[in-house]
Amino acid sequence: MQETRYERLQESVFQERLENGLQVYILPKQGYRQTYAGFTTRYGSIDSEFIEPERQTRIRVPDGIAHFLEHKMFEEEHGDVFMDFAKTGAQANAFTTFDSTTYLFSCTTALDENLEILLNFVQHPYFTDENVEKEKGIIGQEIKMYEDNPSWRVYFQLLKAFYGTYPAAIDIAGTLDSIAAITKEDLYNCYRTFYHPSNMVLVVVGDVRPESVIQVVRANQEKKSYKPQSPIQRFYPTLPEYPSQDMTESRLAIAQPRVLFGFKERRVDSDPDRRQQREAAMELWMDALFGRSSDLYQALIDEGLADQGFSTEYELTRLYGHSVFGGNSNKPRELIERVKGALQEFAQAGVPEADFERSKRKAMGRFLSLLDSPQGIANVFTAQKLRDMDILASLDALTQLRLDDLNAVLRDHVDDAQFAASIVWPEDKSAGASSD
Amino acid sequence: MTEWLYDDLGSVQLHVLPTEKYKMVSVLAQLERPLQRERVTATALLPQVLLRGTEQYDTQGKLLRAFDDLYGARVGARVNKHGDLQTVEFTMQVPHEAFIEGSGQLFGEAIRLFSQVITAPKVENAAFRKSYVEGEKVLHQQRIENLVNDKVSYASERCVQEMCGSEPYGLSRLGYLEDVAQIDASSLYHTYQRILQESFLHVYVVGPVDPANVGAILRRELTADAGPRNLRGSAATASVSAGEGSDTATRPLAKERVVVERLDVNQGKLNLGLRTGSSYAADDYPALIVYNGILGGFPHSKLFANVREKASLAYYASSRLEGLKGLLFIQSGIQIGDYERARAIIGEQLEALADGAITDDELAFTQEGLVNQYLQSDDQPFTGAVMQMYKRFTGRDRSVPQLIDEVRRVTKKDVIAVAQTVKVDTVYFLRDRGV
Repeated sequence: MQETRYERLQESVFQERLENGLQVYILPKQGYRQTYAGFTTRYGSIDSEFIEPERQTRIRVPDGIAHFLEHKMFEEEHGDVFMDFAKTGAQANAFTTFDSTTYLFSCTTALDENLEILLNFVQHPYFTDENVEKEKGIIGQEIKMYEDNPSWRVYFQLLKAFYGTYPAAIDIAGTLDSIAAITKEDLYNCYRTFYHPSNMVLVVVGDVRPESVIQVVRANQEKKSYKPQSPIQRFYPTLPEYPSQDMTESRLAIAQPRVLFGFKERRVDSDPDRRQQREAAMELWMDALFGRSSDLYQALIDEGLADQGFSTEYELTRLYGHSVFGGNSNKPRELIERVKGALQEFAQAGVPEADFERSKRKAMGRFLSLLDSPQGIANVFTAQKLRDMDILASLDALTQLRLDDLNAVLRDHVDDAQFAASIVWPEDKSAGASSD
Repeated sequence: MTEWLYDDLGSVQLHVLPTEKYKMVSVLAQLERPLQRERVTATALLPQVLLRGTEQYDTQGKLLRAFDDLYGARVGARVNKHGDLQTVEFTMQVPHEAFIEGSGQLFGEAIRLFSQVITAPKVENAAFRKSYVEGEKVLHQQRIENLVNDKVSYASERCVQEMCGSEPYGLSRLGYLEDVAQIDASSLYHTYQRILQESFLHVYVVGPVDPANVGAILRRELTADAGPRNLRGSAATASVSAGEGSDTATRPLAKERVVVERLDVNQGKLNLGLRTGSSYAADDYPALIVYNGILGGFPHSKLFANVREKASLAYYASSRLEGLKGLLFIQSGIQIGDYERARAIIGEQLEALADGAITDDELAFTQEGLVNQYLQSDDQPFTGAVMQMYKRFTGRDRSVPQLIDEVRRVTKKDVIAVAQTVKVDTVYFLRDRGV
C-alpha cells in the first residue's frame, strides 16, 4: 500500500491497485464513529454505446439503463441486499450520475462483514425477466416524481438546450418509454462491460487501520476469478460545437418562474491538470462575481430579478463542460439580459483583485469543511479520481491560481455562441388548490 | 462520547464540545419561543432581516464580505419548528486557524461578527432599516408562495396543516401571506427585542477549541459590550414550555378525515397523519421509535417492503416521527389511479403491527439500524444541542447512550402496546385536476 501524506491538512490517503485491477483508496479519519465505503464503477447515464467484451460486438442500450442496473443490483437469489446490511445496522444506498454508479454503506460496527456484503453483491448480478419487470413500476414512479420537480425539470431542459442528442442531455433515470424497453439481457451486457474490477474504485473513509481494511478486500477479491479485461471501448458522438437551442421553455404547477442559463464549453482539455486549473478558475470567478457577498448578487435581488436562491455552478468532465446560473425569478428574461450584460463587462474589465483574493480564501475554507464529512469527502474524492483529478491536491491548484489566468478563463468561457437558457413557467391556471 | 461543557453567562447559556476530529469550528445560537399565530410570520422574517447588515457593516454585501475574508466563514440564520415551539437558529462555521497558514485569529474575529448579527443589527430610530424590511417582505411572500413548488415537501406540510389545524404545530413554519403585509420596520424590531428579552440565547460551540478561550470570547462579544441591546441577564422564562398544545396527542380521536387536493401534477402524493399515545417525554418513547422503524424508517421496513418492493406502487414509501408531539407521518408518491390499493396496503401494515405481526428480524434489524443512527449522530456537531433543547421543552433528560440502551431493550410486547394506541387522523391525497 502506498501512502500519500498531505501535511498541511493532516490527512493521508493509502492506495493500492489489486491484481484484478481494482483501485482501493483508504482515508483514515480519527475520532469518527462511522465508516463510509463507496464502491464505484466508471459507468453512468452517458455510456449508451460500447463494445460488449465477451462477444466483441458493438451495442447500443436504452436510456436510463445504468440507473436501472443500479436498482437491480440490490436483488439476489436469497432476496434483498438491504436485509443483509440491516443485520449489522449499516445504512446502504446507491446513486447513479452521468459518468459513475456508486454503491455505498455507512456503519458503526462490523466493518469487515459490511465490506464483504458490499463487494459480493456488486460483483454478483442476478436478473430475471420477472424482477426486471417489477422494477419498471418503481422506477416509473421515480421518473414521475422528478417530472413534477421544477428544479430537476429546468436543469434537464438546459442540458437538452446545450447538448441536443448528445448523451449528456439524457435524463439519468431515462423515460417511461426507454425503461419499458429494458430486458435482462441488456442489463447483463452492461454489467459484463462495466463492472469488471479494473473499471472500479473502492473508497473507505473512517477511523480505520488501512492495513486491516486492505487485507479484507484483498482476500475477498482473490477468491474471485476475473479474467483480465482490455480497456473498455465506449462510443460518444462528437461534442456538438454549439448549443442545439438557445432557449427551452415549459410549464408546471408552480408559483414563480424558475430559470437556469449558462455557457457550454466548446471543447474540453484532455489534460487532467489543466482541467483542474480551469475548474478552479471557473468556480472562483463565478463566486467572486455572483457569490452571496457580491454587489451583483445583491443588485439582482434589489432589482426584483432574483431571490436569495440565485446561485452558480460549473461542471467539467472528461468529455463536456458548462456553467449554470439562475434560480427563481419573476422576470427571467430580464434576469438573463442583466447577467449577460454584467458578464460582458467583467470579461472586458477583469475581476477586481480584492474580490479575487477574498474568493480564494473562501474556497480554501470551504474545501476544509468538506474534510469534516466522511461521506462528502469520499464522494468528491471518487468523482475527481474518475476524472483523473485529486481533490486533496485542489488546494494547491487554488493557491497557484493567478488573477491573469482567471480573467483569461472568464473571457474564453463567456461566449455568446455557447449560450443557452431554460425557463419553467407557472401554469396559466392559478396554482390555487381546490379540495373535495 | 465527548462531554459537553456548560457555562452560565446569564442570558447566554454556553455549551462547548472540544474535539480534535473536526477541521471546522461550528457554532449554533438559538432563541426559542412558543409557536403563536400572532408572531409566527414576523419571527420567520427576522433571520433574513438580521442578515441584511449590522451597525458596523450596514449592508449585506459588506457583512458577508467580512465573513468571506475569514476564509469563507459561513453564516446562516433560519426559523425552525420543533413540536409546538418556534426557534430562530443562527449558525456559523469557520475553519480552525491551524489548517491555514498565516490565517491569524479566525475564531475570535468570526465570533465577533456573528455576535453583531444577533446583538447589533442595523437600526435606525428604534426600527430596522426600512428598505431592508420592505425588501425582505416581498421575498418572504414569494418564499411562502413557492412552498407549492416542491410537491414532496408541499404534500407533507399540507398533511400537517390539515391534521393539526387547531394546534400550534399546525402553523406554517414560514407564517402567512396576509400577515406579512402587516409587518413594518418598527413592529418587527420590537418583536425582536421582546424575543431577546424573553428568551435565553443558547450557544453551542463544537470543534478543536479551548473551552476557556471560547468562554472568554463569548462573554466579551455577547454579554459585556452590547450596551442598550444587551441580552437580558435575568430572563424571566427559565424554560419554554409548549403550553396547551402539547397534550393534544392523547386527546380523544374523531373519525379519520380524508382531504383531497387537486393541482396539475404527474404523480399523486399519498400522506397520512397519525396520532400515538406516546411522545418524547413518555417512558414508552423508545418503543415508539422502534415502532416507527419497523413501520417505515428503513429499507427493511414494512412500508418499503410492501408498498414499494412487493407491489411496485411507489419509489418512496416511508414514515417519520415527530417525537415531541408523538405524531407519525407516512409519505409516498404513487400513480394517481393506485390510490385505493396503496391506501389499503398501508392500512394492512398498521393493522399487522397492532396485531403483533412482527418478525424477530424486523425487530432486531430495526434496533440495530437505530443504534447505528444514534452512534453516527456523534459525527454531527449539534446532536447534543438537539437533545438539550428537547430536555428544555419536555423536562425529559435523555442521552444518546441511554437511548441506545433503551432501544435495545424494547420487546415485541412493548411495540405492540404502542401500536395499539396509533390511530390514523388524516389522509391527505394530492392528485391531478382530472377532467
